[in-house]
Amino acid sequence: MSCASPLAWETLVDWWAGDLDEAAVAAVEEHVLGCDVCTVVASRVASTAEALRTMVPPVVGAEHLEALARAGVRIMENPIAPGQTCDFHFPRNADLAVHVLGGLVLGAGARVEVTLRSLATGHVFGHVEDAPVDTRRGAVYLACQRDYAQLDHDLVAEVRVGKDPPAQYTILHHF
Amino acid sequence: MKAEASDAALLAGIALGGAGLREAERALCRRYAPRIRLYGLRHLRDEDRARDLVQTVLLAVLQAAREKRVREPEQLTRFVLGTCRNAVLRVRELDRRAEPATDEVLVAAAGGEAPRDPVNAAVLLRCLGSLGHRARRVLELSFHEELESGEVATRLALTQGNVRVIRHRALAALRVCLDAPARTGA
Repeated sequence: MSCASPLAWETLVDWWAGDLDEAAVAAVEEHVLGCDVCTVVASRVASTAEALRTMVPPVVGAEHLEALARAGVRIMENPIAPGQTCDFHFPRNADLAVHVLGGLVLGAGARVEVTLRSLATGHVFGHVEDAPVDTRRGAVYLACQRDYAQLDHDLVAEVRVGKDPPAQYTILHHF
Repeated sequence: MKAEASDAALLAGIALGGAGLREAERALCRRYAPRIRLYGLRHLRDEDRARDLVQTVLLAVLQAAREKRVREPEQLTRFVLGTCRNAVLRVRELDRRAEPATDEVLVAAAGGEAPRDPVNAAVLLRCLGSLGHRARRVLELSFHEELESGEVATRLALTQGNVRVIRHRALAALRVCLDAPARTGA
């Protein structure tokens, strides 16, 4: 396999993101359709971008959850109160677990930050500024997937509303 | 090493028929299936629809080859591109999945040859966490929320050019991280 004039990664990323004009798109697509080398590289761009497009973010909004439920994803909720430590067994009959971090007072326009830490090491593996919230329930939704079994099982979620001290939720996962 | 047959040679083999017909068809399908799937994924944003597109396009190309309707065999790529465009337009207009083909060669090409690269959610989370906040936001807005670079630039108070540079660098870094051997812990 060889290519005399391989397309640049930047060009392929722009193509996938829809940032090329019509003529450039046509040129890229004709090249890729005729080239194994560039198909392989473009497939790397594609699989990475598609992973991002279809991912369920760790902190997820109510509308996103509703869309997932409509698409047939089996979701199980796990309500937790501030300061609580919760033993959580990932259910066999669920595709997605949602920790409902409740007990929050969410004024209109309140800025909410969520930080996820390993309980054992304190390592931060997720931080979301301006997190989506459910003001009606006074909650933030933390999406938990079966694949997360590969991460530290015990985590602390800190939810800070505005300048208030953060509410802490400790979750001990069993997958 | 035996050189791969050119597109023109495969088309000639298909047009001739006889003993070499199936092998020439298989070779053409093997060559074009991953490329068409990629085109389909880019335009339809759906793996199943992309796989259907592979079958639809390959069927049309094979029929054209059997009937010697590919006027410029050396330009088969253009013929395939045109067929892809028309098929995507039809899928969009009808807003339904293309009828799946039953030809064993096409089914094998669409399913067996398509590289599937599922990304583990934990690895993705860990790799996103290894990026800087701005890079992560550019990726999320570009590919998860599917905003154009101009909109991303406005949201993050960057120039459009800046967004594109951050985006391609961050995507490359993410790809490298996703390909790295698994580590333990968070």
